[in-house]
Amino acid sequence: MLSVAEIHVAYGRTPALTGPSLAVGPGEIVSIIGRNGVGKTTLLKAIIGLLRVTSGTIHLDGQDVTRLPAYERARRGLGYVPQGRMIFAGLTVEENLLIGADLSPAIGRALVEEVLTEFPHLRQRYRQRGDTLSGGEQQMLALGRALAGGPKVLLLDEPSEGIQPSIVEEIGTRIASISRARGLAIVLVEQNIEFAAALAQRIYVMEKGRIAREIPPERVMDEDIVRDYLAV
Amino acid sequence: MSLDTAAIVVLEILNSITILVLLALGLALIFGMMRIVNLAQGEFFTAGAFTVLTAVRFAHLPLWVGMLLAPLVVAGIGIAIERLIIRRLYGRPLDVMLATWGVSLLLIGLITVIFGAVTQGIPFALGNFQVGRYSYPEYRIVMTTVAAGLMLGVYVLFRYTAFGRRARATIANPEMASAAGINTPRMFMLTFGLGAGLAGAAGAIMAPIVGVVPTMGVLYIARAFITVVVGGPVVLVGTLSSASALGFIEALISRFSLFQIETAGHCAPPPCAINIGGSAFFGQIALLIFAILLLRLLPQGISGFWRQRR
Repeated sequence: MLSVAEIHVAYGRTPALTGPSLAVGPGEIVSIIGRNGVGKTTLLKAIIGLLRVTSGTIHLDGQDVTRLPAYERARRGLGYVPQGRMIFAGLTVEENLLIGADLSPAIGRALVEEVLTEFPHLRQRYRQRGDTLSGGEQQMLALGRALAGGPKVLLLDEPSEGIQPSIVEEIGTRIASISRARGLAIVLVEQNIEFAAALAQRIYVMEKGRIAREIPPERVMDEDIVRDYLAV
Repeated sequence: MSLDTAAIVVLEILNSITILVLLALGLALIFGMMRIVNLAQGEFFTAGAFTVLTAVRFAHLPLWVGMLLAPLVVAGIGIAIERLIIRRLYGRPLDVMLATWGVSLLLIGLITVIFGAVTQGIPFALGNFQVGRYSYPEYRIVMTTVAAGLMLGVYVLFRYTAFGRRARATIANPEMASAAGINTPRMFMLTFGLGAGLAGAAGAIMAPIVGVVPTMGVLYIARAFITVVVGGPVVLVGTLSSASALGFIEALISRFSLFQIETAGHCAPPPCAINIGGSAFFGQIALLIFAILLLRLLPQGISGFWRQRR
C-alpha cells in the first residue's frame, strides 16, 4: 500500500532523514516511536510531501509519488493528521470536514456522515468555528477531515499529545476500528508508548534520522528497550 | 437644513463610500487573503478603464459590454502576472512590492505607448434626476448598486462555495491545505486574478466619470491603500467599515465649509477669505487626517480592533 525506501531529507545542510525505509499494508497499523528530534515528524512530512526528498522513493499503491506535490498525494489517497492538529481555524467544523470530502466528490457527503457517526462530538459542534473546539475535539476534527477524504493510508502525528486520557482512549478505539473496518493502513508517530503499543501491529524505533530496529508491541514496555531507545 | 439638502448630503456620502469600496475591494482581497502588497493594483484599475475605452471607441461595442469585458480582461492580466512573476516571490514581501512596482511602471508605459499620453473621455447616456432643488447624476446610483453587488458577490463566493472554502483554508494554513488536497498554487493564482478583476471592474465602472489616461491609477491607488489599511485584516467587514467612515468624512468636508481664514490683499467684495472645507480638495485632506487619527487609535485597523475585542 505505502512503501518508503531509503529516503533522505535535509534542513539546509543538516540531514534530518538518513534513509529510513518502511512498508505498510491495508488494515495494518505501524507505529514509529523514538526520542524527540530523531525525525519522526520529518518522516511523515516527507511522506505527505511537505518536505522535499533528496533521494530514495515513496510509492503509494505501486505508483511513484516521490516527486508529486502534497495535494496530489492527498488526492491519491494519503491522509495526513499533523502534530498540533492544524485545523482550519476560521472554518466551521462542517467546512473543515468538507475540505476533506472535496477529495472524493462522489462519496464525500457519505464519508462526512460516517465521520459524524464515529465522532458524535463533532455533530454537536457542527456549525461552530474550528478554533472554538477543545483540544480533544480538534483532534477528532483533524482525524475526521482526513477520513472524510476516504484515504487509503493515514499518517498520524502524535494524536494523543495534549489531550485528556479519556479522550485519548476514545480516539484510540476509533482509530483501531476504522482501520479494521476500512482496511485503512496507518502510520502512527507517537511519544505515548502505551498508546502506540495498544494500537500497532508493528513498532519501529527511530534514531538519528533512520529506523533503528523493530520491536514486537508486547515487548515495547520492557525496561531495556525503554532505556536504550526512548529514555531521555 | 432642508429636507432636499439632507437627501443630497446622504447621496454624496453614499457616493464617497461607493468610490472607496470600488477602489479598495480588489486590493483588500489580495492583501487580506494573500498578505502581499500589490503596487500594480492602480494599473489594474487603469487597464479596466482602457478596456472599456477600447471596446467603445475602437470596437464600437455598447458601453455595458465593455464594462463586462473589463474585469475578465484584467483578471487575465492579473493571472498572467501572478504566474510569471509573483509566484516566484511568495514569502518575500518586500520583493513582491518591488516587483509589483515594476509591473506598475511597465503597465503605465505599455498603455501610454498604445493609447498615447492623452486624457480621453467615455460618453454615456444617463442624465440627472431631481432631489428637491438639486439635480443628481443617475449614474452614481448605478455605481453604488454595482459596488454593493460586487461586495455581495465576494461574500457569497467566499462564504458559500467550495472555491471560497478552499481559499479560506489556504489562507489559514497553506501547508495544511496542500496536505489536505488543495492545489494551493492554483488558489493563490485565482485569488490574485479575482483581486485584479475587481480592480478592473472598478476602473470600468468609473471610466465614464473620470478622465481615462494612462497614469490614472496613480491618482486612486493612495486612497485605495488608505482604505485597506484603515479597514484591517478582515476583507469585507474591513473594507466596508473603513470606506464608510472615511467616505462619510470626505463627503461632509467636501460639502460644507467649516470656517474661513481671512487673508491679505484686495478683494471685491472685501474682506478676502479662504473657505476651509466645502470642496473636494479639503474632502481628501480630511480623509487623510481622519485615516491617520484612526490608525493612531486602532493600529490593527477597524476590523483588527473588533477581532481583538472578541
